[in-house]
Amino acid sequence: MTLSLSFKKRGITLTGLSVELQGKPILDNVDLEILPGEIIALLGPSGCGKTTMLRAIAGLQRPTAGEIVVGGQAMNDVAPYRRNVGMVFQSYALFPHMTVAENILFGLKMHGVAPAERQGILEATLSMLELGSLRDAYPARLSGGQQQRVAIARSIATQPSVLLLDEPLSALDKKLKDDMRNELRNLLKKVGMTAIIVTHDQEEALAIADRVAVMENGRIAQIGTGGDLYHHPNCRFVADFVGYMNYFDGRVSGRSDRSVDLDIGRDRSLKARAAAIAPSQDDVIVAVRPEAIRPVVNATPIDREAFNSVTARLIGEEFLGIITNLRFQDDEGRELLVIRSGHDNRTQLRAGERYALIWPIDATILMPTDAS
Amino acid sequence: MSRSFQFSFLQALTFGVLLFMALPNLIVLAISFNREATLAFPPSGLSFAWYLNVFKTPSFAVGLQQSVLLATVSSAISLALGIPAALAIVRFRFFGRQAVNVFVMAPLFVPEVVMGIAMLLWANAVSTISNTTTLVILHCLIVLPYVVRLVVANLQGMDPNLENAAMLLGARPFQAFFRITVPLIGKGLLGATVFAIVMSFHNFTATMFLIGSRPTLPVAAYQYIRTENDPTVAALSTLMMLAGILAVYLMERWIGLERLVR
Repeated sequence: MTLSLSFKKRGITLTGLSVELQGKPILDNVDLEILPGEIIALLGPSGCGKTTMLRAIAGLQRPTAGEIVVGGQAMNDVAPYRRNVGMVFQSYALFPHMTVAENILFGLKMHGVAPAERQGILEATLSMLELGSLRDAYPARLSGGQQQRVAIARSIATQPSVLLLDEPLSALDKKLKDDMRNELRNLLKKVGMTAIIVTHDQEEALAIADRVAVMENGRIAQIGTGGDLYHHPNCRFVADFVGYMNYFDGRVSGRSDRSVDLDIGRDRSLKARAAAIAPSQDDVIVAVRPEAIRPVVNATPIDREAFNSVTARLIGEEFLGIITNLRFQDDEGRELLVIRSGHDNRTQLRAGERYALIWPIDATILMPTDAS
Repeated sequence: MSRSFQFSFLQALTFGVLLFMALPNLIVLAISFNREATLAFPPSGLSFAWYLNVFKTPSFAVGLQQSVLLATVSSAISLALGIPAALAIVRFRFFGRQAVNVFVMAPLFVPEVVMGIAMLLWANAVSTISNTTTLVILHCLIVLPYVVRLVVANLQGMDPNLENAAMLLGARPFQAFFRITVPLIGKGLLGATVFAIVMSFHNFTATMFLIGSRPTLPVAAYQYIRTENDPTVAALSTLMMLAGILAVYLMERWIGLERLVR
């Protein structure tokens, strides 16, 4: 059997997109450029506007301002049934009175595809998603994972220009979720469809998407690859949403071409790369990821040009198998989290002892203070 | 020992209450077979004459026609108005939505006597409309809250994204409605229809005020009993009861009553 599904890759451009519901801004002047064939994740807590953005692109939510362009065509005034946008709903929204095959055929019938061609696409879709044996089953008889595959099959059978997925894995249990996120990415890449996936799960976003847009209060706080967001978060919200982070309130006390000196109180100072900060800022948040930090015995000689160091007392240790969480408290009462690999037992640490916590200057992150 | 005693006591109590509820109807049933021309209990002998008499009484034939007409027309109108109203109440968030909901439900809380008198006064004031038209309007008012309530309950049990999914698959709004929503709430709609017909058919109190030359079946029965004392009305009541039981039985078979009363 030849695979008769083909997809035209289309990009999506959102310009100044705003949605207000009952006077409350849900989406606030969002700009977003999605390349053809790219998988974008919208990541954020509930109420940040991510689902609303999806619904606006699908045409289920009318924007109060801004423009939606898909494949070069302005979509604002196009009815949902003409947009050719596929959507996988959080609830899957499978038609309960139709079999798997009927669910998949529905869109093809609505698009007026000839019966012979319909059958070919049905077979191709069923085999692509390994649903052949379930073709005559009703949705109520299917497991969560099977329902999800049917929902995807149904939405790609009409060969939409973009696929929107609203929390597609949230109804699955943990183990299945982990399997499905790889499967989902492979499938999307195989058909090469432009896709937007909405999720509140950072791992899911990083695993599936090419780029992740972290959303907060109706705005995109930052967009980038998982690495960008993880290593160069531009604000505390992003830093907290993707992984864990240690913070110091800092003040710029000196600048050179290569580095910035940062005063973090009590005559202590840290260094960061000069490129990491806007030249006008003085008050900054200094941050470091817990797994970038290494605790060493206090008297260890340290290369001050390459490493930052603070002294802190070990106050707690949590062995979790893959990793060990170490909790430290520095002289000013700040708690610092250090994550070491579960296999790292080179340094025997004792609770209550003081250690030097060191990390590379390159791993020091600077962010604007919350007020600015 | 004491558990099984409690259990049998509960059974007996339940049976007793059910019997108490059914007793008046059972007495009517017994009287309908009375040989003598009186509404007396216990019956003095067995006879089917009064059942024959039901079909020979002209006012009952007129009443049946009138009641069937009213039930059919008013439930059709109520469905035509109630389904869109229920859709609007469930699907859309508009200004005054709650007010509309309360307004549609309001007739449930107005005593039927008040509704009957109000409609009578209104019909006299607008003297151009016919008696039957006024009755149709009255029955619509009585039936509409039930229709809206039932359809709302059925729509609320349905994932609103089903229609959205259909539209994103290329279905026009009306296609999505008829191919997805209607099949899924179909049983509820059927139940609402049966319910509307039964409510209209059996209405007496409010209807009473608006009867002109053509009574409805319950009113015809009432008028008959005012002048005659034979068991014909008991026979008629038994037949109406049987029709009601049949309707309930069929609904239970097809739909499941719990869908109606939730």
